Amino acid sequence: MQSSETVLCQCTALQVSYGRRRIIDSCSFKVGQGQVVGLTGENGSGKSTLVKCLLGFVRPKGGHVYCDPRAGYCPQENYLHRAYTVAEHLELVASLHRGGLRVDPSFLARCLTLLKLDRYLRYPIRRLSGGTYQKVKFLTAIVHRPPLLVLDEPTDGFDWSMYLVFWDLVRELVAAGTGVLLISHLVHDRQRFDRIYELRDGVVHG
Amino acid sequence: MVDRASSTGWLVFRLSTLELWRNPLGMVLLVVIPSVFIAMILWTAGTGSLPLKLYFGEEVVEVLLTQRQTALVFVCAAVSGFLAAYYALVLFHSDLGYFRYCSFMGLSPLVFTLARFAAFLLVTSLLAAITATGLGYVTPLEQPLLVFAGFLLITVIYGAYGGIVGVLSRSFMPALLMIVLLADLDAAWLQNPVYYSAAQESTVIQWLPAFYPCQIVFAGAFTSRGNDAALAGAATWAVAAIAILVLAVQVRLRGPLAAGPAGRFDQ
Repeated sequence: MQSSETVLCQCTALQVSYGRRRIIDSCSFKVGQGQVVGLTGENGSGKSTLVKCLLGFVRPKGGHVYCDPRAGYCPQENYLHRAYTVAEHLELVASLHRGGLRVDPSFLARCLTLLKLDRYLRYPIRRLSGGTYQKVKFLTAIVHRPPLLVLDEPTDGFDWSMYLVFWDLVRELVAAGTGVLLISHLVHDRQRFDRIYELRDGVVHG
Repeated sequence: MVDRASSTGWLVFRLSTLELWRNPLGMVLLVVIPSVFIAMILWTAGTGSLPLKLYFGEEVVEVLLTQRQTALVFVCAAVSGFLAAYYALVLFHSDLGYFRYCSFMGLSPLVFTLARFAAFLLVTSLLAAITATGLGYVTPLEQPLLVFAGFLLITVIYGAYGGIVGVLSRSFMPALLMIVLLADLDAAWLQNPVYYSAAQESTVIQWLPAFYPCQIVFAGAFTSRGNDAALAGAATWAVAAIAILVLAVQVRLRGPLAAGPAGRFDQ
């Protein structure tokens, strides 16, 4: 683990509401460079809302949020464009230079091979299986090698070998300084986290 | 920076065109709907003459036309408006969440809107050309190019309207019904030259978005005169509608919390 002095993502006394319903109540935590931080909690506890708020998709009701604007994000939702092929989607993503980050073609090619996506490049996204769809989402999040990765249940639908490939890639990025915030329900993920926060009744317990 | 935006813009344009091409229902509708309407008019419309009023700014010109001629031209304008709004709805509503994500990844909402609208214009130009050419086969047109311009303007205005509704609406069906409501009310009913010529409150009809483009189409189809007043009115509608579309996309893609350079969202 590298030094945690460089904070990539931090929230302090964060509050989030949907209408009158308070989802997050006074939540504070941070993710530093080279750290793998886990976020757990029951279904519906507000984990996904919390990361959406960190990334600017949801407006907080109160508190302070800081997040590196170059974060890579793998959301829980199936958001990929159904009419595009995998290659077209990746071409579009690679053309976007978020915060000056560029895609390294050799890294992309290696990821395609490791994730066994190279054979699916011409497939329309609507025809992908659940696990393959999830791999495309994960690749989209990491392809720019962002300094911060926010992953919301990224291994759903992966078989065991792909699960291990996933962690190999995450470890490689972390070794290069990337901070990772990962939402997971899997017990065997816990041993891989440097720190775990649990969201319970709208409050983060660390 | 400009190079990057233009290459991303070109890519979004190319993918958007492909999306429309891969929408088989849309491609079928492009040909089938105008054909069905034209066939029904040829089958049912009478050949008796009707006196109609056409708008030329300060001047009102009266022309004598057959029901068949009038119905053919009017219905083609109405169909173009509806189809354009439908295509724009598909382009700006479907998979908006994807482009919201792309915007998060660095896609400029302005580049997205312009590229998407350019792809839309390509299709609607095709639609206007097919409609004007088809119309020319079944009824004589005095100025086919002006008729084409009128069709194009109605597709731009209604396309922008379809895009605005598509971007702002959360679900597809209410958005489609909004489009059907305005297209039926305006382009397919109140702009009927027979209805307009005998209307008690024609000023109200003149305030609707399809009025100027329809008058351009009628002037091009039935007279040898240009219609600068209608062209200016239609251009104003088109610019205003596109500006609102750009704004609507900006709001929906950026969301309430556009990350600043520091990525800080303090409350």
